[in-house]
Amino acid sequence: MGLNVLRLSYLHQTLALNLLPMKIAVSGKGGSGKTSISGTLARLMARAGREVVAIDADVNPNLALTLGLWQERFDELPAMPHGLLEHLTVNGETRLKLAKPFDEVISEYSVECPDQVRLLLMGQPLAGTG
Amino acid sequence: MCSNHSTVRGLLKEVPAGERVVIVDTGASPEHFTRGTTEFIDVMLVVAEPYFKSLETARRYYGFARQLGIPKIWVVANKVRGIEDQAAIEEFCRHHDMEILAWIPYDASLADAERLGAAPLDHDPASAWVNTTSLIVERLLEPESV
Repeated sequence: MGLNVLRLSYLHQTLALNLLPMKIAVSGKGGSGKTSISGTLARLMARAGREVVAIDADVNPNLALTLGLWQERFDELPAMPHGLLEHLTVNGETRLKLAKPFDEVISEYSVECPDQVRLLLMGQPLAGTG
Repeated sequence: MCSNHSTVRGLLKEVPAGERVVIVDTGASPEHFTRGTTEFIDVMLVVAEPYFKSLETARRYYGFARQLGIPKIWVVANKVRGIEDQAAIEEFCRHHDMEILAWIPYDASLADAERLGAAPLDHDPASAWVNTTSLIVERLLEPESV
């Protein structure tokens, strides 16, 4: 019996190591309910035991609202800054790469919402810059 | 100028292994497709309402997602008021070879939540809208779904 338990825990660990993240995007026409669905999905996924990162990639960000963040905190939401990407040249080919590891970006620029969902905001365009 | 989109794209490309879920709420414009922001997504949910302009947008976005090579693309039918709405969406999606993942009913409690600026889940956790949305979570978390 002991061996079976050991085998099982080994199997679990192997599976955990090989688990891939799931990346979901929600799109659709304005007013279709994208943001309500995104926010609710994020929190329900978190309640199902997943570590959830929600990214608001809308230039009119409202995801904080449907995630249930207090409106008083909206002004303190940090957007991701410009310059998080750096050019990396490999074999003469230039690519853009994150300048910091993913987890560092999350811990520096995200806000914790109900059910421990971490919210990241895409940087906003400035008025008059196109 | 496109660095906001590039940052999100770069971030999605480098999500580390593990049991994490990343959910991206995109803008209403197709910019996130044309700029490749959502190129590294596994599942694209295209939300459609039962009226032609919304379905037509869904059809275009579904096509963009196919062009980007996103592995799993589904329509989520939202604000469905009855059998006629359902038939209209079904017919449109069948005709354009679009797969439907879930049916979310029209729910007055969602409209109330929106008017109050509250999260649907906090405003009325037992609503039909929340219940059907939780079915999407179950479907997506099934081991063989993605």
